[in-house]
Amino acid sequence: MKLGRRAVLRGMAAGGLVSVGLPLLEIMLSSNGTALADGSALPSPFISWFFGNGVRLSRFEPAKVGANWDLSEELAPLANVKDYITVCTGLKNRCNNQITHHEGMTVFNGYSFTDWNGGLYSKAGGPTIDQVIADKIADKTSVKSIQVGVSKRRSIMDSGTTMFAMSHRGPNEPLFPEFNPQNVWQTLFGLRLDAREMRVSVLDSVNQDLTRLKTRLGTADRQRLDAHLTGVAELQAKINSPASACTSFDKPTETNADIAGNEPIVNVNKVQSDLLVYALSCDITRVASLFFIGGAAETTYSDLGQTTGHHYNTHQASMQAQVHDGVVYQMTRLAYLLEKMKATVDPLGLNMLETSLVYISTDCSEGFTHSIDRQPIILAGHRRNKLIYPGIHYQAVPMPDTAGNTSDVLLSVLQAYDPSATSVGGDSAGSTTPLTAIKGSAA
Amino acid sequence: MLASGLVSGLGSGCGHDGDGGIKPYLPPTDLLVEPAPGGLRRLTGSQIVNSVSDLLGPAAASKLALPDTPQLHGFESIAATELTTSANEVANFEDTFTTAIEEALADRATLARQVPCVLAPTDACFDEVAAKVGRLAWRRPLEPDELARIAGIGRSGEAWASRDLLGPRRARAFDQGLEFELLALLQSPDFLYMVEVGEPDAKTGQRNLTGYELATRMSFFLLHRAPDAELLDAAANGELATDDGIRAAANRLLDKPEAQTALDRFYDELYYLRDLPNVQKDPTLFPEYDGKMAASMEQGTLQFIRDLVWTRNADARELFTSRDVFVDATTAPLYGQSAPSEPWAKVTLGEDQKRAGIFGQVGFLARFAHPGLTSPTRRGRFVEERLLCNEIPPPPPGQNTAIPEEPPGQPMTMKQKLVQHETDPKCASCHLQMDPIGFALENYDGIGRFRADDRGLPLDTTAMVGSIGSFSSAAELGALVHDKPAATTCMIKSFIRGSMGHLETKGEAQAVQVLDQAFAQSGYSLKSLMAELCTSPIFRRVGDPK
Repeated sequence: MKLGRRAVLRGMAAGGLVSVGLPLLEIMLSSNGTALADGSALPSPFISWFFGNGVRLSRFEPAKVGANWDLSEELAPLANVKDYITVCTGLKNRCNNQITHHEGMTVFNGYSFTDWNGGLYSKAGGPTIDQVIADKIADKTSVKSIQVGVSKRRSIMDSGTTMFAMSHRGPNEPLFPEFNPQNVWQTLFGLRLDAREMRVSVLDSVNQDLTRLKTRLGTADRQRLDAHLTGVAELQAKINSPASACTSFDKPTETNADIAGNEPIVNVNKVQSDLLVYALSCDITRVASLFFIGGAAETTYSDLGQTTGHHYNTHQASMQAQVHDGVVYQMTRLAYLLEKMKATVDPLGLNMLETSLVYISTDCSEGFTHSIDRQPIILAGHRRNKLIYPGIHYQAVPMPDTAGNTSDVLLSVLQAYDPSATSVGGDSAGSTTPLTAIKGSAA
Repeated sequence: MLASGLVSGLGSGCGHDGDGGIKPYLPPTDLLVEPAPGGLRRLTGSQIVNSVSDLLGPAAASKLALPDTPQLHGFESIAATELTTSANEVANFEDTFTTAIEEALADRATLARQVPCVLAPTDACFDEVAAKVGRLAWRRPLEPDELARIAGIGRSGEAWASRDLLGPRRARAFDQGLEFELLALLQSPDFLYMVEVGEPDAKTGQRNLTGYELATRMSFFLLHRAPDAELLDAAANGELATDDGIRAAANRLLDKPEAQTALDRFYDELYYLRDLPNVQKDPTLFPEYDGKMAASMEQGTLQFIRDLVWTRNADARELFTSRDVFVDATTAPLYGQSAPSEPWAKVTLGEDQKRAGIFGQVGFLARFAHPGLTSPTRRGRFVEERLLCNEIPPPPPGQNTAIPEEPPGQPMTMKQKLVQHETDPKCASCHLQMDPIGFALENYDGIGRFRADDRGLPLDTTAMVGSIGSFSSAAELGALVHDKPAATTCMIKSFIRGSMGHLETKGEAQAVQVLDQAFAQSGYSLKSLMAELCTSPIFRRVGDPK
C-alpha cells in the first residue's frame, strides 16, 4: 500500500499554505472568513496541562489579589503571557478519598474515586474535563483528542490509573499520554491515505465481530466493546475524511530517549508543544492534554544540576529550595507552550490564547503534606472572552485557610465550551456553582 | 481508620496476616468453588507481539509499535481484564498491523509454513488462509459465515487492487487481497481479546471453559502467546477435559523455551525488576550506577530464578533463602566479587554478607530505595505486598511524610530517623509492619552493596514484626519467610493475578488451599505448581460473564 500519495499531497498542499505561522488555512474558511467552510464556528481549542508534586505555596501564590496582581516567584516565567493568566488559590479540592497524590487529580474531573482499594491505588471516578469538552466540540476533527507526556519517570510506588494518566473517559477508560513525539506525530499527521475503500470495509468486518461478541458478554465487557466500536467508527471517519492540508510539520527526530541517563525534557516539551499547537491551529484536533511530569513522579531535573527526583525532594525538609527550583522549571516549560500559542495567529488576527483555554493544575498543594487544601489552578487564555481578560488572581481565602471548591473553576471552564452545562463532576467533589469572579465579557 | 490501630496492635488495614492456621485438606470433588467472572481479557502488548511472531514471523513482529500496556495492581493482566481499548489505540492497531503484514509478505516463510498456498497463489488460498491462519489467530475454528466473510475480504481486496493496477499483475493483486484479509483477522476482537465465556455444566451449575478457551488461557499463561496448532488439536479432540490431559499438555508447554521467557516476564513484573532502568540514583553517591548496571541487576535476578526453576527445579522457597547470585562484570563488585570470565557466572556467597534469596538481590535492594538513601519502608512494603500478599493502606491525610532531618552535627541512621513512625500512632499501625523488615536489610545500601555501618554510624539491624517474628538480617528474615505458609500461598495468588487477570476472590480460597497442598507435596516445585494451577477448577471454570 505504499503508493506515495502522502508526498504528492504534501506537494499540492504547499501552495495552499497561507504562510508559515498561520496554519489555519484559508481553504478551511468560509468565503467571508468568519467561519469554517461548512459554516460551523471557528475552533476554540482546549488544553489541560498537568505537573505532579504540587508547589511551594508561600512562593507560588501571588501576594496581591484581584485585577492588580503581580506574578509570584514561581509564576514569574509566565511574564510574557501574564495578561492571559488567571490564578486561583485557596480553593479546596473536595475529593472524598485520601490516598496521597491521587485525590489531587479530582481537580481535572470533579469526581471522587469509585474504585480504590485502600492501597496507593485508584481509578478515575468519571470523565475528565478535556473529554467532557471533546464530546461537545470535537466531532468534526480527524483526531478526537490527543494525550502527550514529557517526563517518562513515573511514580514507582503507585498503582491504578490516576497517577499515570490525566485524561479519562471513565473509570475503565484511561487515555494514557504518549511520551514519544514521533508516535504523537504518527497519530496526528501520519494517517495512511491509501486504500481507503478497502480499509473501511475491513473495519466493517471488525465491527461485525465486535457486535456479535457483545451479545455473549455481561455489562462491563459490553461497555468495553462499545468503546472499541466507537474507536472503529472514529477510525473509519478519519480514513474517509478529506486529506488534511496541514502537512508542513515534518516527523520529529526527537524520540524522548534518555541521553547519558538524563531525560531530554526541554526538547521533548518543545516538540510536544509544537506538535499540539500546530495540530490545534490546523483543526486536526481540538482537545489536548499534556502530562508534564506524573503524579508522585521521580523526575530528576538534571538541567538544574539536581540529582534526586522531584517527588523525593518534596519529602525532604532540607530540599525545599530544590522543590521551588523545580516548580519554576516547570512553569518555564509551560511558558514555552503559552508563548507559542500567543505567537500563533489565525487569519482573523486572533492568537491562540484569545481563542483557546488552557487549564493547569497539579496533584496536591504542597508535596510534603499531600494536602489538597489550597490546591492551585492556573488558567491561560480566555476562549473568546468566555473567561475574564486580562486575568486576575482569585483567592478564595487568605493563607493558611481553605474554602470553596476547585470544581467551581472546572464548571466555569466547562461553561466556556458548553453554556448549557449546569454541573460538573459528581458526588460531593463536583460543582453546580461556577466561579463568577472569573467569568468573561462574552460569557 | 488508622489512628485506632495502635491499641489493637495493628489497624484494620494493617497487620492482616495471610496465615489461616491449620488448613483442612479437601479433595477437589468436595471443593466449594465460586470461580471469578468470565468475559474478555485484552491481549497485552507482548502477547500480541509473540502471537504475531508465531503467525507472521519475527521480522513482522519486530515492526509492531504498540504503546506500553498499563498495569492495575501491578499486573498488566489485570489492566487487560478491566480497561478499554481507546480510539487512538484502535487507529494504532490498524497502522502497525499493516506495517507488520507488509513485512510478512516481503518474507512469507513463516506464513507459508501454515498456508503453503501463499507462495503459489490461487483463488482457493483465500479460503485456506481464513481457515488456517484464522484458527490460529482467533484460537478457534471460524464459523462458516466468518470464513466466507474473511475470505471475501481477500477476494474483494484482490479485485480492488486489480482495478488499481494497469496490467494483469495477478500476484501483486493477490498480495493486496491477502494483506486486507490478514488485517481483518488481526484487528478483530477475536484476536485482540481472550474470550472466556465457557458453557454451562448441568452437574456443577457453573460454566466450564470450552477446550479452545482453556487451551488459550493455558498458552497465554505458560508461554505468553497464542496456542500452537497442536494444543488447539488437543482441545478439539477433548484431551483437555481431564486433569491428566491438562497436565500432559501443560508439561509439553513447560518444556518449550518460550515457557522460560514467559516466567521471566512474570517475575520481572512481580518483583518490579522491569522498573529498574527507570530508577535513578544520586550520581554523586553512586557514580557507577547507570542504565547498564540497572539492566544487569534485572537480568541477574531473572537468571537466579531461571536457575532455580528450570535448571534445578528446586524448592521455590529458596527464593527467600538461597545464597546463590548471578553476576556479570557490572554487578560482581556490588556483591564483593571479582568480574567473572564468562558473561554471567553463578556464585554462592559466603554467610558473611548475610544475603538470602530475593532479600539479598541487588535489583530488589536498589529498586526499593531512594536515590541516595535506603528505604526500609519501601523494602518492607514490597515484602508485605508482593511476597506475603498483604495490602498496606496509604498514609493518613495531611500527615507530614518528610523523613526527619538530622539535627546539625548529630548524624542519625535511617532507622533512628524512622523510629518516629513507630511512636506516632497515626503512622505506627502500618509502618510497624513494614519498616522493621527494612531495618534488617540496612546492611545493604541504595544499590545493594553490603555495608557494615551507615556513614560510620553503627547499624542496628534488629527487628520484629508481629506476623513474621524477630530477625536481624536478610538471612534470618529469609528463614522466617521460608517457613510462613502465607509466602507460598502468595506465590499461588500471584500466579492467579498474573495468569487469570484478577485479584484472587473468596470463592477461590478453597481451591487455593488445595493448590497449596499439591505445591507442598511437589516439594514446592514452581513448574509443578504452574501445571497444577491449569487443572484447578478456578482455572477451568468461570462465573457468568462480567
